[in-house]
Amino acid sequence: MMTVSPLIVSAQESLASDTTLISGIKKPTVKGPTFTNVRVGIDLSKVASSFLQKQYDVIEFQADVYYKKDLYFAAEFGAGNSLVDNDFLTYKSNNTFISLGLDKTFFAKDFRGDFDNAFVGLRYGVGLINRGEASYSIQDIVWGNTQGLIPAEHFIAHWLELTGGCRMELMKNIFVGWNIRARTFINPTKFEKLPPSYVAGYGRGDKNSNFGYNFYLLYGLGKRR
Amino acid sequence: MCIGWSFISSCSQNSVCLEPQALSMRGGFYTKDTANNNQDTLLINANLRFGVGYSFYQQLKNSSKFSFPLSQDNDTIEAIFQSDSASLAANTIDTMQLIYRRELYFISVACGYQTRFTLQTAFSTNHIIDSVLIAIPDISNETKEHLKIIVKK
Repeated sequence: MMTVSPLIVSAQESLASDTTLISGIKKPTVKGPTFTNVRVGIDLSKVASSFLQKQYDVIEFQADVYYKKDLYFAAEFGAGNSLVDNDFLTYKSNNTFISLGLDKTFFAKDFRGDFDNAFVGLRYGVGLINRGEASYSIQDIVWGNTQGLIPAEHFIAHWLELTGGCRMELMKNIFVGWNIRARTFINPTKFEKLPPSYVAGYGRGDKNSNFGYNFYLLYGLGKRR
Repeated sequence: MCIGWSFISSCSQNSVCLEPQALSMRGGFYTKDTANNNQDTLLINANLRFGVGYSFYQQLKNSSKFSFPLSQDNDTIEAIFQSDSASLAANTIDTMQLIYRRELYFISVACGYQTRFTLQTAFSTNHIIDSVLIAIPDISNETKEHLKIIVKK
C-alpha cells in the first residue's frame, strides 16, 4: 500500500496556484490580473482642431493600463472652452471632463510585449460645464429687433460612449492610435434652454448624441509580458 | 493634411442658420354661407396694415390668405384691414386687436432664439369684419392657419 507524505501534499498544494504538473514536467500557468503596462498620451486631433478654427480650444489626454488577456482599463480626461459669436447669439463656455471604461482587444499577441491591436470599448463620461451669460438678438424688420440676456448656468453632464479603433507601436514605447466614438447624453434635458456649443470629451453640446474621433500619441511604460 | 483636418473639423461646426427667427401668423378671410359654414372668400383689392406705425402692408388682390409677424416686445398688436385699398372711408376700414402670450424658444447655436406665440384673444371693429376666430392658437411654425377673419357679405 502506498502512503503519501503530508509534507509532499503540502508542497504540491503550495505549487498548485502557480504550476501544473503534466507528466511530471512543471509548466508555468498564465498569471491572473496584472497591471504591468501603462500608456499615457495626448489627442493630436484636438490640438490640430483647436489650432485650425476659432470656435473651441480643447485638450484631451488618454491613459490606459493593461489588465489581463485582452482587457485594458482606459481613462480620458481634459478640458476645453468654446465661443459662440454670431449675429444672433454670443456666449462662452468651458468644461473639464473625465471618462472611464474598458477596452477589449481583438487579436492575440504575436510576440512577448506585442501591444499592436484593434479594440472596442465602452466609457462613462462626466463633465463639469460652465456656460457664461449669453446675449441674443432676434431680428425682425416689421416690429424691430429684440435683444436679451440668458443668465449663466452650471451643468453636470453625463454620457455614455461606444468606441473602436486601433493602436500600434511606432517605435519602442511610442504608440499611435485612432478611434471613432459614438456618444449619447444620459441627461440631455439639462441643455434644452441653451447648450454649451462644444463640450470637451463629448463634442457638440446641442446634439443629444454624436460621433467623434481621436488620434492619440501615447507613451508606454512598465513591464511587458 | 490641413485641408483634411479642416474638412473633418467642419463636421462638428454649427455656423449655418437655416431656420427663420421671426415666425409669422397665418390667416385667411372667410364668409358665412347659409348653413353658417366658413367659406373661403377672395378679396378683390384689400390691404392689411401692420408693424410699427402700420408702416408695412400686405396687398390682397384676388387673394384670401395673409401672413405677418407678431411683435416680440409686446403682448398686443393692432392691424388695420382696409377692404378697398383705394378708399380711406371709415366704413371700409376695421381695426383688429390680437392679444397673445410670448415664449422664448431656443432654435440652435447658429440661429439663436425665436419667439413663439400663443394667441389668446382676437377682436375687431365691425364695419366689414363680422368676427375674428382663433383657429390654432400656437404659432410655432408657418404651415398652419392660425386666424380666420369672417367678413360680412
